[in-house]
Amino acid sequence: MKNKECIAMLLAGGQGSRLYDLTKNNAKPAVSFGGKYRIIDFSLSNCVNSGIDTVGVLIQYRPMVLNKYLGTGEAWDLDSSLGGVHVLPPYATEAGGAWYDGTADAIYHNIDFIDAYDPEYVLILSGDHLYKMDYNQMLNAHKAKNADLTVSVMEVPWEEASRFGLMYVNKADRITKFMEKPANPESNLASMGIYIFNWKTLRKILLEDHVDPKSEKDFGKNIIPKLLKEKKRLYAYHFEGYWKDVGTVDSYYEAQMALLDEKPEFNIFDSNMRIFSNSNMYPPHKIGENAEISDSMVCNGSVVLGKVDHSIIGLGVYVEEGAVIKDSILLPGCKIGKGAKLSHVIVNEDAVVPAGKTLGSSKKIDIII
Amino acid sequence: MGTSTLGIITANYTRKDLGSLVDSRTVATIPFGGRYRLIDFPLSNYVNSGITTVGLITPYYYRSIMDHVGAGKPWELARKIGGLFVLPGTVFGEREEGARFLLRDLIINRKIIDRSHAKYVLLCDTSTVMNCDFREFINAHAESGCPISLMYKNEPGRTNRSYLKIKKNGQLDEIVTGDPKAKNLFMGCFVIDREMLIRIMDWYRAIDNNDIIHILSQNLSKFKINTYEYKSYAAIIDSVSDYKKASQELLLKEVRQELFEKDAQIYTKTQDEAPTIYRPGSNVKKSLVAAGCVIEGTVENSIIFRSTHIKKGAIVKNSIVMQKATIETNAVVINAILDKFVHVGRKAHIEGGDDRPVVIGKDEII
Repeated sequence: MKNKECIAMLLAGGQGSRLYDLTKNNAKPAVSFGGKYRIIDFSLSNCVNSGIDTVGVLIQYRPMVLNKYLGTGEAWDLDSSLGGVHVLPPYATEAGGAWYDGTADAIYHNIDFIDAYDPEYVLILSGDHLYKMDYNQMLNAHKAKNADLTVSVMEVPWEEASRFGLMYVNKADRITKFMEKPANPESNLASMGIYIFNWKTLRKILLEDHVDPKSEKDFGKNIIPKLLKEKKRLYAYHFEGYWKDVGTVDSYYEAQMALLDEKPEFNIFDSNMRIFSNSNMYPPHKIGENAEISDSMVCNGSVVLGKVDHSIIGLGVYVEEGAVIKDSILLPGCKIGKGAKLSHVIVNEDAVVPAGKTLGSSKKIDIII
Repeated sequence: MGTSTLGIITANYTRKDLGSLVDSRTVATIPFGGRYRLIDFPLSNYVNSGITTVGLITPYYYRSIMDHVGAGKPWELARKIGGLFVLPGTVFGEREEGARFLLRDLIINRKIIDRSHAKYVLLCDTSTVMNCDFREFINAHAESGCPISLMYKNEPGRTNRSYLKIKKNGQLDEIVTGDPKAKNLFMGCFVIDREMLIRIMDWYRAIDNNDIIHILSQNLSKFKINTYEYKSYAAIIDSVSDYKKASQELLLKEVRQELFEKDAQIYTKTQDEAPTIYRPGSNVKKSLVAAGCVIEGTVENSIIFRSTHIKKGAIVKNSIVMQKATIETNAVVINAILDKFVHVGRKAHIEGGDDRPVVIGKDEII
């Protein structure tokens, strides 16, 4: 196989348990976002837009929707015989089978896969973050610093810093210390969970870490501290721009509602670095004769006959006559019955809200299943 | 069924009455319904009917058609077994008004017909908007025992189209044109036994500048021809007013159901647009809106294609606005068809008659 300079390994096996019902049957990277996307679209599109054409997607938790969605990778121009998307589930060997036990363990179990491409560098990504990033710039910085590992970081407000894995750096941006969610932070550079490793360095440390009984086999908790101890060259790469991990229902709701801003911080409408998605072939959406629609986003295949204000209507949604939707997110395929009144709710994919029902309050975001 | 039928789409023809809609493109690539082009309907119909070997006879000016169809991926026609075959058309085609099944277009491509193992060949033009399961048509053809079957619908009044007079046994009696009382409109879709098609190509080689349908109508005694009535929704697009009427019929629930809400979908090239945004103060009623638009003004009874920007105070009524058009602040567009990339300036006023819409050509600035 022709060797690649850099391939991406996308960690997509997480459950995202704080999204509750949204991830009951669905891994977090496959959760719907912004009406027509799934969260994994953003990192996959970043790869394609950065010229990375080989992506291993590590799956584990409830992979059905995700698998079907990825398909051949065609939607992201990743249906390539010289690379493309590879779905990598846990597997059995003659020694038995095991689940991926931590982020580093997932990569460890796919050393053969990476070796087959014999890359110089491996980009480790999470499949559940929202951002637009040109990984090439990070790779250039990695090369310029002659680094073993480059960690993408961003400045976070000091008062929130203790919620993140923090990098302590010297003047040359060399990482001197790493602290996972420290109580009294002395740095506000948060790791974004985006790593570029020299494959040789990563391969060696993964083999060592695998036989360490005390290791949790996690990049943040184990791999980075071990490399620091070995005095490897670890550098921070400063990212400026929008980046978000929508870990909770509230942040999931707010991140989407922010798309309705006149100048959204996370600009999915910009044709520069397009976001690709594998949406079904729906006809344009229909706005009915008595409909009222304002300050909202609507996707293909939907029919809006009621009143919609400050809301996001996903693919193939049906809003009946007399229904009133306010400050809500209707995920793909859901149906809202006649005269139903919704405010501050997220209606899950394919859910049905019966006619006349009133749901939601402005105090808390409810998920309707 | 799939391997027993070869599909051929004839796109090598034009229609004067479509005016500037066919200035820089063929009938096949006229944008329709917010995100489609007319050729999406026959292509999807073939694929949805299990016919996965499809020849596409292209016009001399094939840029727009190749841009859209490519290797046939959106229709899953980029495949090892069968798939899409892009075929050349004769230069004659675009000049001959109305001739859609030129014999010479088939003769220059007869290799695909000779080499095929299919029992039947289903030919189709690109002027009909329908979501049709060809399997029923082919089954009816097979049962009839006739070597040729023509599809028709009940729609009188098209004086420049062929109509079928039908015998009591369902077989063709006569093909007529210009008869205002005739009601069985030939839909530009027929199925023929492959062997019979080969024979016709041999027999009538000397008059290959004729349309096959014309040849049949002149030689009815030689052929036993069956007829098949299509009873679901089908719109024939021969003129600007046909185009506007069919577009606005998409706003009817029944029509949408017939075309877009069956199990069989209409496929098209995807563009990965973001969802459409409605800004505060937008006022939209009874309209079909594709993805990637920004709507700040008023839209009524209209079809809005992808990536269109309708600014504050602008009013669009009874109109069709094709992709990437911009309607500036306080402009008014009524009973109009705006082609791609049209820019309507501030306070401009465009208004056509109800049945005589104004057509603004591609890239124009008003």
